[in-house]
Amino acid sequence: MILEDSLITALKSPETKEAAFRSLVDQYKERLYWHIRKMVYAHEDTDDVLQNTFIKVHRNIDSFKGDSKLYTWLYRIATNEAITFINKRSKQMQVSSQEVQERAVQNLQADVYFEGDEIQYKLQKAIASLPQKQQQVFNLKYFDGMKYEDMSQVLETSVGALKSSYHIAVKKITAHVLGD
Amino acid sequence: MNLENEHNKQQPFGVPSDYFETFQDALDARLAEERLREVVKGHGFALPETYFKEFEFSSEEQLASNEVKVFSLFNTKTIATVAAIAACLVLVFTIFNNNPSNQEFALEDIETTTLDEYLDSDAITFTDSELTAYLNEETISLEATIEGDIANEALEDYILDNLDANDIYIQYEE
Repeated sequence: MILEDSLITALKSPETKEAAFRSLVDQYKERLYWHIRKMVYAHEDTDDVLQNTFIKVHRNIDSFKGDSKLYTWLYRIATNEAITFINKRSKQMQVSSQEVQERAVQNLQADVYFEGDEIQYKLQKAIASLPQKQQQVFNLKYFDGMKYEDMSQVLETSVGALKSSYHIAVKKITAHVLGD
Repeated sequence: MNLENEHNKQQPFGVPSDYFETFQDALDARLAEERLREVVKGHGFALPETYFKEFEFSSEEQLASNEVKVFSLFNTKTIATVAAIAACLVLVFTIFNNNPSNQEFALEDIETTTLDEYLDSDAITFTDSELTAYLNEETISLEATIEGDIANEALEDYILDNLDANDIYIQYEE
């Protein structure tokens, strides 16, 4: 794995940009895929959003100033792309974005790319029922194990507010899944 | 004697301001999380077996097929068309108005499509400075256009279709 600083330098140089970009895609495609998948649920939609994310990264890498970590910048772009996707679909379907996500979860039962059992399905359903910010915080912390400080850069929210959101989200989800 | 304060004075370590106030909540969340992990193993999502192996991002191909189209509210072509039509109407009106033999001719007699065809045939061209000469502040007032002609819903549709959060965020970063 190429170190972040060297990768950024290579990405900003016209001679090395394309090779460095391929390396970046290789390093981050899986993490970003799963991050997006947990927001849009369907594999095909995730693939579209992932492609769009890397297009945005490729087009705007020169404007990355290094004020944040590269990976939090990538997560932020992926998150925004997923939200844009959900909002567009909500506009097309003329329902709220939360309704879009809840319907996507319902479709999981017939999805060939969802192999979860009943309890895993219940977990996804519980996550989709949360407000969008709490969903994001829960997914980033519970599944990705992201630190609050990094999450703060991705979601542009204070660490205190993120902790509080996570605590609320976990309580709601356990109540929903375990019937507390 | 406040033992807690005395204890604090003796050690150089600090804690975040609300650490002890929020500790119970954090602990409860952690315990709930542990229970959840025991019961639910993984997220259950699957994907085509070779997806990541085959995920090749050919930047040139992808970028070529995904170029963002920027629609300017006041693009040159629109202004040119409007200005050219206006100029033609003024010209036609002046000619026929000053010719007594054509007094009965009305502007409505000229079909817009005829004018469009004439303009599209490139029989007449305008430079930018010529075009701007036909525009006055009233016709190009952004404020008047936004407040008067563009409904909020249309504006919202335009933003949703042509901009996204990343564009705004990236512009903001720059």
